Amino acid sequence: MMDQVIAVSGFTKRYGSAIAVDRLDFGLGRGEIFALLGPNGAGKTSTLECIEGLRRADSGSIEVFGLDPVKDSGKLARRVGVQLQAQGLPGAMTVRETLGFFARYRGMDAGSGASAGLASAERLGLGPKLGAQVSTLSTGQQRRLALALAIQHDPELVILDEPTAGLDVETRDELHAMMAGLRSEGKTILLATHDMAEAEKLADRALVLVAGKRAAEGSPRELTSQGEGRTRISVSTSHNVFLLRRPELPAAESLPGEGAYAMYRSADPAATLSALLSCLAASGDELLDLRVERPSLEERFLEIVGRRPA
Amino acid sequence: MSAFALHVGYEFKAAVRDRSHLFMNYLFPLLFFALVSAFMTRMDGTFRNRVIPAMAVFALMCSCLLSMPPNLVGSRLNGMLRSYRIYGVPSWTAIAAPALSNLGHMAIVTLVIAATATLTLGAPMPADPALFCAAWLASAAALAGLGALVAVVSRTGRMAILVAQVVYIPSIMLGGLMMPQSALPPALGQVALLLPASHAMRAFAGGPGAAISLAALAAGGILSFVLSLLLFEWDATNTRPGARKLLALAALIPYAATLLA
Repeated sequence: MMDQVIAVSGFTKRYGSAIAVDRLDFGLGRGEIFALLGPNGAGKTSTLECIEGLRRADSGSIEVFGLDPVKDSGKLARRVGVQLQAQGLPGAMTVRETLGFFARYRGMDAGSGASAGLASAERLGLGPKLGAQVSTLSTGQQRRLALALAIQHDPELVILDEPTAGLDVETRDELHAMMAGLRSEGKTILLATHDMAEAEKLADRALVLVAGKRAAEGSPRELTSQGEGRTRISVSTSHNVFLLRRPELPAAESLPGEGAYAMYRSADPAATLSALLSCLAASGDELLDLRVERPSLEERFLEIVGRRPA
Repeated sequence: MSAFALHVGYEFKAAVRDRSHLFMNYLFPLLFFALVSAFMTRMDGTFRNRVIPAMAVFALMCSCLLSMPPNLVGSRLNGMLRSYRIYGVPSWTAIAAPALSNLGHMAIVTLVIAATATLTLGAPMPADPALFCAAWLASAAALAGLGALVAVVSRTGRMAILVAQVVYIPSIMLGGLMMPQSALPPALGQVALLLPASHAMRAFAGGPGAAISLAALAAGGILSFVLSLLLFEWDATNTRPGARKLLALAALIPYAATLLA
């Protein structure tokens, strides 16, 4: 069993009478990327903020490396790197000063703090901006700086809250590559995101929160293979035998056709495809195109949160 | 250099790069000094004798009450204090570093005022430089502590300015900056003793009440910082019950105690 980096048990967070997170349990093992998914107001940020020690849990327990995130925030600051969703940085400081300033508070000496800061800035493409004041950086550059601050002290755990929100495609791809690089270095990453493609691409496991409760948990592959999110099969033939006859196929539901394609949604793609090909051979029709598409995490997510994909 | 010393240094530099800081820490007190000294020395011949301490206290009030609280509140509202928290910056340094940085700027302003007043107005240099330094340091601690306290009890920058005005305006009127405290009616003189500015002026003046005022300022400064730490919040949405903020009024205890002395 992997070392437990984060252990959340019976965690509940309330704001007045509203329950933001309700008796949540989950754990995060060393070296994995764990995605926290959910619609707005699902309780992701409340969960992250309690893990980061910014808020207290109302009941239940949260442990990070076996420590209390609120009481032991000083010790954890050296082992955990955090990038907040809405992060204020000292606007009048330069990028270099900001990196050096926070490095010192994390216990790094002037030399190692400066070199680690420079390395993380270079890694995130901020090298040419080291002398620029933070207030003059673009949104994307400020996001990169927040990430550089999260990783400059070589933390064991990195917590990222919507790290790529509002960034252009190129920057997003670069940050995805950086996160994959962190995983290959053995870092543990807790990632809250609205970007399902990001979670599907990067996460080893994901937890879907709906209205503060756990709605689903598993690897992206496990999640997409559960529920009604079946594999979609599209077939086009020269004489449109499937469009015209609509033959019934095992474990499959016939969907409305799209252009020259007959559409099926299958819970058992192997059985459905086998029957489809037999049917095709029997009809004497000629196959023009056959597409098999697994459901995306986004489709599965919409199903979980009660909004079926269009 | 320790993390805290680095922090104070960065705060000092950041204040130089920020126009609103420069205005409130330098331009406003120095302009006020130039204007007030120009006509007050004609209206009141004795003003020349107290212009240096009076304008030093005024500059400290501008920096500590008008500049520092809204900036600290702004740091809380824009999430900078949350960043401090997650990057391991202790709460006491989040208050003490900007306070010390502001006091560094005020030391420069005081030197400019002292030099200019001596050269252009013929104001006497402090007869007892050690007492002057002690009074300045105690006044700085008291006003910076009060500024920090105003910041931690205010939800918004605007609220911070309003709360600060409750101390700032009476201090200008009753604190002995513009007219000698001896000229105040006795009842107002008693009220004035609740203000740090009054004790600052008494401490600068020397004489029998100076020691008590110095002690009140030092105790008031320490108490204000302790209360600021108790009431400190990293996060604008993580607010404490409002009633607890009334605890801030305890900062007036050392000044109120001088009424009994």
